[in-house]
Amino acid sequence: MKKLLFKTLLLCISVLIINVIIKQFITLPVTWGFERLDSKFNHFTNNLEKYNSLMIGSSRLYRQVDVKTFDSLNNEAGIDTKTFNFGVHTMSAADTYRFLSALSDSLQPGDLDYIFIELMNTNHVSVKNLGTIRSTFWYDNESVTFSVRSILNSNRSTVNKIYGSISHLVSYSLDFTNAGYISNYLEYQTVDTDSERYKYYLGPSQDGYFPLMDEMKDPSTDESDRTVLESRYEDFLKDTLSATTYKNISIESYSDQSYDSFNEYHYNYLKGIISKLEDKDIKVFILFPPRQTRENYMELIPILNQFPENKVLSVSSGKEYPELYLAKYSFDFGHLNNEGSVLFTKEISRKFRKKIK
Amino acid sequence: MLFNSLHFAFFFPLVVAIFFLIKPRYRQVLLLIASYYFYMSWKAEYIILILLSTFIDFFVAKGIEQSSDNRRRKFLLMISVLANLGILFFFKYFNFFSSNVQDVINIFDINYEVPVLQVLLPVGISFYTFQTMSYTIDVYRKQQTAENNIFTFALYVSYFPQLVAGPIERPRQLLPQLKSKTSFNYTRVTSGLRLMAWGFFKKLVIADRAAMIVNEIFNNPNEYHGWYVIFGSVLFAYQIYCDFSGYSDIAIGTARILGVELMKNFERPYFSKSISEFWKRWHISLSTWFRDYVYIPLGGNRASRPRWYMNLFITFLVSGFWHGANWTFIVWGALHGFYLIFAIIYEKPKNKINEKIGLNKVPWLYNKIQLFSTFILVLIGWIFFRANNITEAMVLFSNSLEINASQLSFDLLDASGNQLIASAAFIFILEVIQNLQGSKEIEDWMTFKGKPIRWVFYILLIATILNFGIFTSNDFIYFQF
Repeated sequence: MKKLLFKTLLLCISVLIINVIIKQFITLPVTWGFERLDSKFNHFTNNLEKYNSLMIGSSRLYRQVDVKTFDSLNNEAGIDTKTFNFGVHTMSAADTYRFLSALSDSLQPGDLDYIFIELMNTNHVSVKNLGTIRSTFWYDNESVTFSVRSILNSNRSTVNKIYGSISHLVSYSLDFTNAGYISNYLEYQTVDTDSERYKYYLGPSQDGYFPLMDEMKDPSTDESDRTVLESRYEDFLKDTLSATTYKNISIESYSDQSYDSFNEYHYNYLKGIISKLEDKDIKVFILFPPRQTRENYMELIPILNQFPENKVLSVSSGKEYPELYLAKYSFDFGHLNNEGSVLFTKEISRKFRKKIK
Repeated sequence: MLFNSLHFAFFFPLVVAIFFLIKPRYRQVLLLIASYYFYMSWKAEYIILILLSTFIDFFVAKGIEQSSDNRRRKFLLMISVLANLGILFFFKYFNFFSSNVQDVINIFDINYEVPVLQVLLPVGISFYTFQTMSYTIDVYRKQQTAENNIFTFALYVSYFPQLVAGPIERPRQLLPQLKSKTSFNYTRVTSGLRLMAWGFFKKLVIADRAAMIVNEIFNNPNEYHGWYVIFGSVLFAYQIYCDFSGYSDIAIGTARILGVELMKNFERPYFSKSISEFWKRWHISLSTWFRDYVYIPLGGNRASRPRWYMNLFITFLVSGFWHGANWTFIVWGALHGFYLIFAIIYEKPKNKINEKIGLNKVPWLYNKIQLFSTFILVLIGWIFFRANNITEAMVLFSNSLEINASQLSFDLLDASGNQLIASAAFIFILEVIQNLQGSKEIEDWMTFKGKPIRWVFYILLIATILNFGIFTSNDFIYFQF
């Protein structure tokens, strides 16, 4: 048995060395495995001169921040912003920071003036997503460490902490062992980043904003995607009270003063990213959108409270922004519709202008 | 659970570790729990079908053994056969029959809707049903004693390495092994691991890659002509071989690690020089099952010529139908039955022609011609096997005849162009290795004499599986049968 284990270990080390060598010569983009992400990454890095401002985060930005409205309100107030919406659904804190750091590597001082980062949790990788390309090839050593440590330092239950950490370690091990790496590289070689499909993901105005309603009605939307969106919309129409539930969760979470600890690791990590970006003369703001889950509030409000006021654009409180929880401004329980997005965008812009002044 | 899933990557080492750590008397229970978990991780409620087959056949076999009354013995056997085939028919063939009956009814303009079942086909039902049927039949024939321990028998029915896609084991081969005590044996375990690695190479690197192109061509039969269809068919021949023999290798390797020797299921079938040889090399556990439980009881070749042909034809027709509830499988089975009958009839004239043209004096050329012609015949069969329906099979078949040189640009396959080249390269490597392997088992062939060569081969094999494998879970083709 010992002999077998020793030889297996030796074999594994040898294979890992080969894998490392392969990765020196063959590189997959960090966004590989999710076309929307890849499309936005490509567009932004190839059109850097068109923008001076970037918003990065989840579908809460992708579907809710109308950057055209945002820029025009800022410009009217004398603040020059040309913003690209780098929100993509399924993003969580760990991958957002990973992609942000990949983006910022190519930035020189003066390339960008503003970056807006959505404050999010680090989610676990669900069982059904383990082993998918999307959840495999984005890691580096730093991001897997952040994923695991930010989960372990959170106030989640022990089971969630264990599963969350293991899920990231398993996903990372697939990346580390090059599971399907060259096969994916062969696929990547055939990707046309100028295709209509890639442009479609950037939304109707090609600025990264793509409201859910627009995607649902777009004739070029995939049938399967449309079906999912339609059922989400119909489900919400059957239960519009869920928007109020989310408002109540928000009000309760903001009035809860029992946060005696916060995820210090997550806070320090984010602070580090911000300081690196500020070294490149970029002003960084933290965005906190409405309609979060109770778990999100419990974990993120204490982190948010650590940052100085002038860096935070929080538009999440159900008490302060009740209109952002109205059914008439909703697409589903977690997202705003086009009208709601305009309201949300106006509020971010108002707060931003106030902070800048 | 799939062998090529993350789930299995955790499940199997855990089972092996516990297996060798616990006392031998608990191992059967461990393997039974592991086997049920293995099956239930796909669809938990379908375990009831396995339990049902297990209970019926366990008690029926006991009854058969204890009875000396032939009529009662036959009656009990009929209960077992009808129960097993009844379950199989209900889940696998009911909708096929009802849709065909519906078609007939529609022809006569009768306003009646034949009921259609909304049930999922239980994975591996054809495999474990045949395995458990062979047990009762063998007990009936007095070739096998009835098992006294229901847990051992339950493990025989559900043994996870071969539960969902074979090899279909015989009770006299598997039952004694399940009862014997196994200790850790370095040579046996490493041999199992080598076979598993080879199986994963065939499945993940060749079969799943070939599937990308095969699916494109066979799902759009009207768009592809000439070389596309020919290449698509050749790729499918390798896809199904590497998929199924890869599964068998992993199953045999897995069982070997746990101390059980499963029967060989493939013997380099594309090296066959005739269709009858092909069937001695392809899905051996199924073809011997049909030989022992269908062909020979029908009378085999110990009958008049017309009856012999009929026996052959019926056996292959049933074999085709076993593969799936679709006319394509029935035609495929019938085609192979026809090939075999034709080969018997044509035997003497063929020898005369060979003598006349002197081909028998150039054996290497004769062998190559036989090899090539057998492969072409098998390929034609695969078109029917893979096509979504008979009409599409005919379209593909006729399109394959429209060959012209300009098609070689492969414009239509642009997106999969890289994968096509990679597929061709790995099929070439497979063929080279299989040629070098000769009559040796692949896991023995891998144990080269020189340690450095052996290690380089292992490292390259594993690195190739990891880097070139397709890891977005693809079901094994034979799961659907």
